[in-house]
Amino acid sequence: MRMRKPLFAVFLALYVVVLPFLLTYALGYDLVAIARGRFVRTGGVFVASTPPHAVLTMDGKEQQRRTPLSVISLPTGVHAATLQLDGFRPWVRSLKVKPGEVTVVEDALLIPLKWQQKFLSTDAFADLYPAQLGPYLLFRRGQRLRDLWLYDMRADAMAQPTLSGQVSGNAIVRSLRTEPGSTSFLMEVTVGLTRRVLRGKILWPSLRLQDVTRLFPGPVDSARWSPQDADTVFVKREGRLYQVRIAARTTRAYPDKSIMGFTLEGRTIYAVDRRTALWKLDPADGEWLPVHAFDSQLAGLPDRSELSLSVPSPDFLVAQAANGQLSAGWPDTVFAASEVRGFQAAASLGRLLAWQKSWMTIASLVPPIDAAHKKPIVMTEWIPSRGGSITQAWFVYGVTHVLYHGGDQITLHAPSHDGKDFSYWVATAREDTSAWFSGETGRVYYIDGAAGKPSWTQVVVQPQPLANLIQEIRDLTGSAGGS
Amino acid sequence: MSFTFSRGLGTGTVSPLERFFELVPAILSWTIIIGLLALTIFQPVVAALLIITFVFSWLVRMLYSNVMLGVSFVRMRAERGTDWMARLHGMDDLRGYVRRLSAMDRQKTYFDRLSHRNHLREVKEILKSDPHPPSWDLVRNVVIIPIARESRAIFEPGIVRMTECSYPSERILVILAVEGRAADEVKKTARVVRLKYRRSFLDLLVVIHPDGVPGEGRVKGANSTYAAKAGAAWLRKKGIPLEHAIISCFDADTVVSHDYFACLTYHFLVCPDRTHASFQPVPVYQNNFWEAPAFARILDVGSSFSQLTQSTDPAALVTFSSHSMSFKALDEIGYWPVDMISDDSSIYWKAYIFYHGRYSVVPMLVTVSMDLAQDDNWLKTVTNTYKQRRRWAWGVEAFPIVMMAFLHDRLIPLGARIKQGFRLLQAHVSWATWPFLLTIMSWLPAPFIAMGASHSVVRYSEPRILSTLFNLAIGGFLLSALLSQIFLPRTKGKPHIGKRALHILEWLLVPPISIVFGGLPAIDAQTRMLVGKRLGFWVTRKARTGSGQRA
Repeated sequence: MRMRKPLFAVFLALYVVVLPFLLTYALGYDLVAIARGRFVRTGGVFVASTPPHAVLTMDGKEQQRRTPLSVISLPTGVHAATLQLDGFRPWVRSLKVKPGEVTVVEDALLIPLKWQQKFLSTDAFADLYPAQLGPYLLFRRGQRLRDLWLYDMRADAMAQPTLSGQVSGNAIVRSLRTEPGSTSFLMEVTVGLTRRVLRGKILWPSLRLQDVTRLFPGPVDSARWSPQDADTVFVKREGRLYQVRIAARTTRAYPDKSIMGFTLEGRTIYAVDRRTALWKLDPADGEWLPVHAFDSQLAGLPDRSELSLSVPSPDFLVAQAANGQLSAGWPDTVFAASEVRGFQAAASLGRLLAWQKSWMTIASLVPPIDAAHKKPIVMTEWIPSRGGSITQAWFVYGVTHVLYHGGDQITLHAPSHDGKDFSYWVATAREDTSAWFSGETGRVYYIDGAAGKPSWTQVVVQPQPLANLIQEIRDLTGSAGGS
Repeated sequence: MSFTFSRGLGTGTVSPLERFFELVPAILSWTIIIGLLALTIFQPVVAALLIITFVFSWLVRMLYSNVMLGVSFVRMRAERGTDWMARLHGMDDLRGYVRRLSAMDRQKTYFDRLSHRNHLREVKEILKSDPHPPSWDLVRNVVIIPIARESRAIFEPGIVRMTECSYPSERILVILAVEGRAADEVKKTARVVRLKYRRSFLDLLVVIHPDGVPGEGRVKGANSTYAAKAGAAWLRKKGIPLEHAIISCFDADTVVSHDYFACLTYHFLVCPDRTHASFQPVPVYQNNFWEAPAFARILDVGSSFSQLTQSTDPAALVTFSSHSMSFKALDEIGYWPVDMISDDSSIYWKAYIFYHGRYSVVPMLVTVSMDLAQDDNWLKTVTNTYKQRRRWAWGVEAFPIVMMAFLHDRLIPLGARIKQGFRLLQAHVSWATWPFLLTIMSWLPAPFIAMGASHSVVRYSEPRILSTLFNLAIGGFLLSALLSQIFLPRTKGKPHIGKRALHILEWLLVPPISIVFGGLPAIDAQTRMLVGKRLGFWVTRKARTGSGQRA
């Protein structure tokens, strides 16, 4: 065939000419510059958003594809990036592009303009506790155990659960803490003069309760789940730490050390002693190891004072004293923050948030990003424009959210990604209005009196992608040269 | 020249060099697969660049093949209405025929003009030859139909078709080459068929190939050779010179198209070096096309297309499946290898080496139809097809023999030896590796770059480039899918539009099919040769549930 050879030559030429362009493009070189005889290396950006399918605009140029997407062949330097999605606030960032590299934004979190509200119940309740797995809410209508109610959000059904287990319904509930990633919870109750720890599990429409302290005679100060084993509970009694294995019905006492508070992170137990030193203990070794000394002013508290420790990430600790004195820092490194007096604190994913309820002042603390300066940085100080009191503060979507009563409103305040503050009016507050904000589930619960009858309402915030945020914080603390 | 196209060149001993050549295809294939995998793990950026280079070369080659496929279709369309018998008759008076052709009015359609132009060129060229080709009336066709265990329902339709051809069947000698180890029922059936059809042909012989002849393997080539020798003796007895005979070695299920023998005889006559040539039709697998599973249909349409594409480059064409050749050449080179499985391609290499490179394959744009591999159920058909493909891939056994012959035969130009050796090796290595590279390994580098926590641009650019290249390739597949519609046989009775449309969707099966029935059997065959575990001949089971369609 006469035309075969010329055709072959054409295709061969096509291959020989195009291939170098393909390879240099793959390596990030600017094809236009190459055509002009110059080798200029470009970079790119990769942006994934929550929720996805947002429109990315780079330097004013709208990209055709939606998130997640990568844009390559960008000149090196700083580029203005904006994400837009109907119903969400714009996400604005300056992204630095390096030659031959792609700047990765794994999770650009878009904040909704309007939050979804759901009416839960017209019954009056003292408090509520969302289970951290499944659609269940635990409501408390009174002080006693028999006053616990269950609500199935999916089925929109309310039920007074039957209680299984040999526990009196007359026991007074002192505290209730849901277990991360499960439908279980720990309760501290008082039966007569005896303080007990109960382990509960939601088995709609009943609650299965197990008296942990039956294995453990005597009063209990506090108890926490083992993060690695749902069958194991760590208990503090009279300043001493014990490990209780429920199924095996065994109790193990750790070496004598008078601790004021403890927390668990992986296999490690962190505790603060009466001299406000921070200790850690590996249950397998059973030996307390000093980590760092807290502020000595925390000393002298009564034995049964509670000191809570928050370990939002393996690299970051928050200790909050009962007298409102706060310390924060990184284990195995210089303890960085202390003496934040009179503040309440919340911490999430390596960031510490402290607020002073009466003065409506908030300070946001983040881990240092400079290894040479291991002090927390005060990021913002926020004063609401109207009078009121801060109910809670938390991190959702990686940014600070503050729930406060101001005047006759409950408002959720948060800074937007473009650095501006914004607020969501959540509800009209009455005298008896109380609000509850779960940073982990991204929901606000409040009593709504607008219907003429008190009712609980839920504002749903999109669940935050915790895994990504944890990684982000780990990267951040890792770059700070922490442990 | 004494030359035996066989392992060890017939000496019974395999030299270390020949053994080395036996190892080469498998070593190369495995090196490419494992090497690229290792590179993907340890140097993913380099692997990504190599993958882009490879996929782009594959795409360009595919587009080129598509163009060639289109050209073949045009040529095939141009010859669709050709009266080959009229051409044969015309060539009896070659000079006058050339004059008449030259004086003919301009043809109406492009296809007619194309056909006429090619025909005129061919007869003008043959006019220059001395001596002129013999009259078509002197030419005899010999057809060998090897039968091992095939039933009458499989081989009889092919015989019936030969009696219905445009070419006079009285000039065709049919030989039913029955294996001696076949069941008595098979032999009896062959004799019954002989009695029924012998008067329709020059003759119809039944030749029983004795089992267990020393030096022979249980292969089709041994049976065909035995039958061809009987045919040669018959022709000599009748005083018919072998240079005037064309021999066609078919499969038992081969059904030729209506014009096959007329077209074959024409090509034989217009080929200036006709006694050093094979004649390759386009094999299609339509006898039981709609009864076979979708994967088998796609596989075999792919085989037909591959053959069509190759027909545009006769210099690179190697005989495949059912084909024909000069009987004189077959006799001179010593018939088919009697111990090799892949006799269809081996016969080409044997002739090429015997004639020191003076041997060619003439493509013919007529079809011969065969059965798709099929069995009682889907799973058995899969196994059946896999074994059939592995047997085809076992054609790699020719590589060491060809290379050994090339090393010793200085009469073949060095350039031709290098070119042919490279083509043969490249064909088998790409057969074994490309499906894996294209469908699996091309997507691996990007995740591995990511696992290395690298934010290199390549991590993002490679998938994008590959997506673009594969999207372009979809265009090529779509063209193939549409062209395949021309080839599809009609379904019996019911309207077939739905089936035909569905067949286009069946092309989506190409990626998994290419691995299961492409890469895997090929690497299997090569690895067997690497470890010295030679493949035995295995007769593909072809269970026809209906009467099927014909070419």
